[in-house]
Amino acid sequence: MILTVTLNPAYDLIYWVKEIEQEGETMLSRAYRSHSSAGGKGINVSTYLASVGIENIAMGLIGGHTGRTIERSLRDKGITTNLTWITEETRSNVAILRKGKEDTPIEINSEGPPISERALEQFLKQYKTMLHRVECVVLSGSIPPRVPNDIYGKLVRLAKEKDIRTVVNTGGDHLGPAAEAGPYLLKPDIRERKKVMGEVIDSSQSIIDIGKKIIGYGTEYVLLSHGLTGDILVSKDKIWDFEADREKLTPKNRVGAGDTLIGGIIYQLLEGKDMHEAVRYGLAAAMASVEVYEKICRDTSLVHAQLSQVAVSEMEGS
Amino acid sequence: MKVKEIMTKDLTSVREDETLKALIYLMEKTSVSGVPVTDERGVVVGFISERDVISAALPNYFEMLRTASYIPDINQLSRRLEEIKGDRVSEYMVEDVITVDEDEEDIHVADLIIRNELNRVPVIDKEGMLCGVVQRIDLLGALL
Repeated sequence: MILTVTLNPAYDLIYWVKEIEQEGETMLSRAYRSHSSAGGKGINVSTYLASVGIENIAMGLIGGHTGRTIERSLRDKGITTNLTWITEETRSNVAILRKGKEDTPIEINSEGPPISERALEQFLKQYKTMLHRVECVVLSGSIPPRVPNDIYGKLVRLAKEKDIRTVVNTGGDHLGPAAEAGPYLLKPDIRERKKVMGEVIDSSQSIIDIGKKIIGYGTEYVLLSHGLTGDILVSKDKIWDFEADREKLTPKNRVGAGDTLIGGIIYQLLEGKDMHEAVRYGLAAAMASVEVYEKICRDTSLVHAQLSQVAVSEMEGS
Repeated sequence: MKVKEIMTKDLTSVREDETLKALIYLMEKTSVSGVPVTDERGVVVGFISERDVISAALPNYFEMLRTASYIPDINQLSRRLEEIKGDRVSEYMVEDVITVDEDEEDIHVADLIIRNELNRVPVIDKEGMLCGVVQRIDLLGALL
């Protein structure tokens, strides 16, 4: 059983527009397509896993009508829920995809509701209970206000005490404490800031350098994306480069692609594949998701079609 | 059909060492009238409902008289709730909880619900851990 944790869930609203134009005093645009779904990075991973038949439990801090909508959506997808209810309303995030520029979405993410000490204590209690039944924990996404920066580090350590593998996908100030706790796989999120633990990420070498630094804390694998169709995987002994032909991709929606990558990796690891094979599949799954309007591509035939596009090579400097 | 195919995959529950105040908050937020009680591993050890909390807050003579008209004012209930809000759930839960195994047939849980006039039945796995609940509406939905 897999456990996903989304501390800052969101209801995702995605709009496709031709362009945003100035109409008098207002920037107005009518969407020719829209899509709404339960979101937050961990929830997206849960959605992918459920789509390939992997039983999983989604945990998170949710509240209000939006929280209820998310809960309903998760249950409809066959995902087991163990949610912590807060008094404030769960946030909604908006993504605007302009025709011809779908690979550079405009994303407006709310900060999320502040979390009380009591709610966080309750969440931790539920989390510890769940650790008695899961084999892997996915900790993913941003952290809502008032939650300490070292929360992911704490959650990783609690899981490691029970020999449970952890996958962390986050960015910003809470990445450092998470990295120092030594998760099994760490995927720094550098969409907002091209920096990881104070180091600027601007080349393959900078990815390898920060990867090696994080491996030094006890993390087994560090995965960093460079662009939409490339990833570098760093382990203690080896470095792999994954590259697909960007030109062959027709992006429709890249929201959730990184989460599909994580979901695809976990799916393949459960199938007994090696990490580099799992990442190759994950990248193919992410690319397949980019090419459909839905946030998560549930059609495995599309993933398999992308698989042949992903080249893997071992890099120097291992 | 197996129970696991019709159950709601919801692990909403309360730990036996939680307070009644925490329980009331949970039931209010989730709009459920009763929840399974678990130990620290998630094993079901009881069930507690609104009715159990109300019974705990009412004077002892209520059960005998079966009417609230003898209660002088609502403040009495409020005061009593204030007194017991820090008490542990384990003090008021029903220990002899009716559960159903996830691999049982749906007819078995239907029988349990009808015979015992239950709204929700906790579903457990082979280790006794909570893995969902079957509600009356789940059964009706599966029958349609």
